[in-house]
Amino acid sequence: MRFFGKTNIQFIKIRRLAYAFSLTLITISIVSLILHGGPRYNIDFTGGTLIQLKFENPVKIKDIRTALTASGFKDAEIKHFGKPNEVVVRVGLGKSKQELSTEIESIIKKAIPTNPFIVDRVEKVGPKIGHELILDAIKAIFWSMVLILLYVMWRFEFKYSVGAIAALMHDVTITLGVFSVFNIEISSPIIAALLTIVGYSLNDTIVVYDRIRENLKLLKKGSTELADTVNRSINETLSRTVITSGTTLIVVIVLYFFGGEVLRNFAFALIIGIAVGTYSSIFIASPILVDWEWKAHREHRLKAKAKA
Amino acid sequence: MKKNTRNRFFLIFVVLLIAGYFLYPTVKWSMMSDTEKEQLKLENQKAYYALKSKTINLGLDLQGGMHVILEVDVKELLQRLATNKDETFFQALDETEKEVERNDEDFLATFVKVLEKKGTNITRYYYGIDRRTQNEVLKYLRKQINESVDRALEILRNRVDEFGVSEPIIQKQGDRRIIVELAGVTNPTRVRNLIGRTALLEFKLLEDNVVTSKVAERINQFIQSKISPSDTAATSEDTTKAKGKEEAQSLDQMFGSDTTVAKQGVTAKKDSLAHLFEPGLFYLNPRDKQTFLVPVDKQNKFRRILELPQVKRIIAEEAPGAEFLWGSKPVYGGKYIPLYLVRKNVELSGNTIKDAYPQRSTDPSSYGQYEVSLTLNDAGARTFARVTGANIGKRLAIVLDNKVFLAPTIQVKINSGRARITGLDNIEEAQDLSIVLKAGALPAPVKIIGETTVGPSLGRDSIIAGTYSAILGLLLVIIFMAFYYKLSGLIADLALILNIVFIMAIMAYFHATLTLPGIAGIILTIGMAVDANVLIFERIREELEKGKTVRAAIDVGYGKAFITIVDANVTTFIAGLVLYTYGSGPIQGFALTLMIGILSSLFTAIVVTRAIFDYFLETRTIKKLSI
Repeated sequence: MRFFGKTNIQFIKIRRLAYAFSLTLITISIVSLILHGGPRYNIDFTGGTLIQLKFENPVKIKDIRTALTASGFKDAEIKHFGKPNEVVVRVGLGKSKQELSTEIESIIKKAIPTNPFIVDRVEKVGPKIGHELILDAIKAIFWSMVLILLYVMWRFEFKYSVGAIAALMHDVTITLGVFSVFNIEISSPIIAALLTIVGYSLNDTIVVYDRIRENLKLLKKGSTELADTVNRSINETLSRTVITSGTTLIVVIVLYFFGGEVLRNFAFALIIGIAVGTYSSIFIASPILVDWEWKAHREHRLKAKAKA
Repeated sequence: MKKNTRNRFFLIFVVLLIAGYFLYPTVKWSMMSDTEKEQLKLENQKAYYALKSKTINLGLDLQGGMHVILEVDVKELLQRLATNKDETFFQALDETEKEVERNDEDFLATFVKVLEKKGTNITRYYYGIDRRTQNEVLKYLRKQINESVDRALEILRNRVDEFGVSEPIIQKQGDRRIIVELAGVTNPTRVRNLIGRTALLEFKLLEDNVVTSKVAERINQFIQSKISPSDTAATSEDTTKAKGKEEAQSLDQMFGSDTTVAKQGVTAKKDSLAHLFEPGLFYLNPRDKQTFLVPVDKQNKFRRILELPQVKRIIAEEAPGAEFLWGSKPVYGGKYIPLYLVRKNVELSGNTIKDAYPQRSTDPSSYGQYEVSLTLNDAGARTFARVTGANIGKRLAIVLDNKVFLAPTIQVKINSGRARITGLDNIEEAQDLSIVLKAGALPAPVKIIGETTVGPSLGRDSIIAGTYSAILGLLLVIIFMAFYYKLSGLIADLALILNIVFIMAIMAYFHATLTLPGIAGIILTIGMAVDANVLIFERIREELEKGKTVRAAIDVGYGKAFITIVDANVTTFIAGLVLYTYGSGPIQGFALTLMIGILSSLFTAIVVTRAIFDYFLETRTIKKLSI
């Protein structure tokens, strides 16, 4: 069985289209992030208390909200968590009283005595911890990008890493943008997903680069050959790129639907990231390599002309 | 079979054996029922823990439990250690607290700076024989802070051990934090109290009733003078008078005698705290004329009033060596909370407690309740005898964490060195109190600055969801590979299954922790592991199309793909490494399975499938490759 025979899609020729499309997506992402005042952090980073309750019967959010507001928790965020009898209550920092979770539990128990519940999960994040987590996340994203790019530069040449950097920033920005547009919270696992996407996207890009390097070795040095070679390389690896991303997407989609509510946003981040990452490996990383090389080459030729 | 191939199969076989050996404990463990596990633990504890340490450890998010991050309250510690505390000192402490919360710098260093800004030196408050210069004082304080963390660690460990959770983890993190991790906790509130309680037990004497009555009278006058009239003065007077009478009547019913009620006032003095003052803020217990009773809903207001300088002056004048301490529980049907005027001098402290155990109430008057029986050490017993002997007829307050638990009257001199703390509502309260009293008081309070608690039901659901997704994902990928690459696909599928076995085996060997994101990591690895094989197979297809023989195509395919496979997987591995370094518990679980999965998949994709291909090549003549 074959999905792709010998293809000859003109990736390099249509690269302007791809750039335009990507720039649109990136612009939407950045605009959305600005409008929302940055990514929407959950209590992992902002600090606060979160309680997940499982009631015996479906429960109305209104009832819980009234009870909490009456006791002074005006800004509590209350949502259903996957099922109508599961609820997540979130309270920000502010009241520095220690046992918010116990207090909230007893308030709800008193307000809705006919519908007993168990506490599935409690998360309490003090301001210091939240602050540290943000720093850790930034350090993690920074270091992973740096290390990976150093690796690319070591295995290939500098010009290859330009395309890689571009693809990376492209992937991270758009994934964050999608989360912003859909107003989904960024939690620690989402950062983990982002880092995984960083690594995985490079995965794809390197496979193409590898093929480009291999094919270039068989040619003489000439700039017009570059575009054809790169194009051919992308086409040759197309089958592999799509299939691998396909299999990974299959498992992540399964995770999205069957992995439980806790992992749902995590799986969503991976789905977006893999899709965007594959797209960027094919349509962004290699074309930028070509453009960069041409630009550098053109300058070189102009300088040579000037000297002559 | 060629030598190379035979070696490869031998290697695979050995690895499989080792994997089986590593996994056996986990399999055995998961098949044991809970009662069987309990039995083993009782009969042969060593074997129990040995077996458990070879299994895959389930993370808190899968088995349920609590993960708590504690920090020693340095502000409180500095306050306790200081002498000559004045207004500047307290202000500086508060300011330091606010600033440290904002920029997370070292508390002590910031405190020194704040004090300097106010024109004082820190040596003023911590002067001592060896502590004259600022450096000496700072060294001393640092030592105290570090030691308090270590002592808190010990005490918490004792408390948790007594509580009886299996395999608790209590560790120091950095130099000011303590991590407590308890698996399988079903009552997190109880654990929070157990951990967070300072458990400072002190025995103090109550101020006598003459002094207490005088103080009550003066405070009453003060409140009266502050109550401002409302617009509906006339009517409110009537209603409050009536109300006052009503209340007097109800109190009469309760106490059966006269009560001293804060009466309705008349003057119109208005100030910003006017809202605090109202009638009925407190009563003097008519039974003993020694305890204040404050209605529960007025507690906050009265608390504020007690902080006012005028009231503090009253206390300073009438009862100079005493202070107000609240009772620990509401009384009289939960309507009133008691307030005691207690002498500051500590007659006996809790560090003399040798033993403490819970028991059912031995008093017929408190039938159905529970109590804690204390045994004091020799020094404590002597002091106790002296104090009780000298104060017969007076009331001894048992103060726990600055709240008066109860204040019984000393009937007789107690030589036995034994005492009882009565009036506990249930056995858990008695048990927990015994635990903390025995383990000792924390040198400074610990704050819970972070907590993650997962209930066992969520944990079970997560395992089911995770396992289900893994199996489903695996099946889909297997079917796809079989369809797309036919027989070769099946070979890759076999490698995939071995891959999962190897991942679990490695985790078992290291007693690594499997978390829910960790399961996600394994699922992700399933999708990514085929990558290596896809690379190889696509190459082989290409070479076959170019016209190479089957054997040559396979050789070239593996050869050329190898470098690409390594390059590509290294980047994901680096991402996993960074994640492991900076991530928290569950995330580390994800990073771990990701990294192990990558390494394992490299092995299975390259060595295992190659061996199988070679086997087929050598034992049959293959003209056409099913790929």
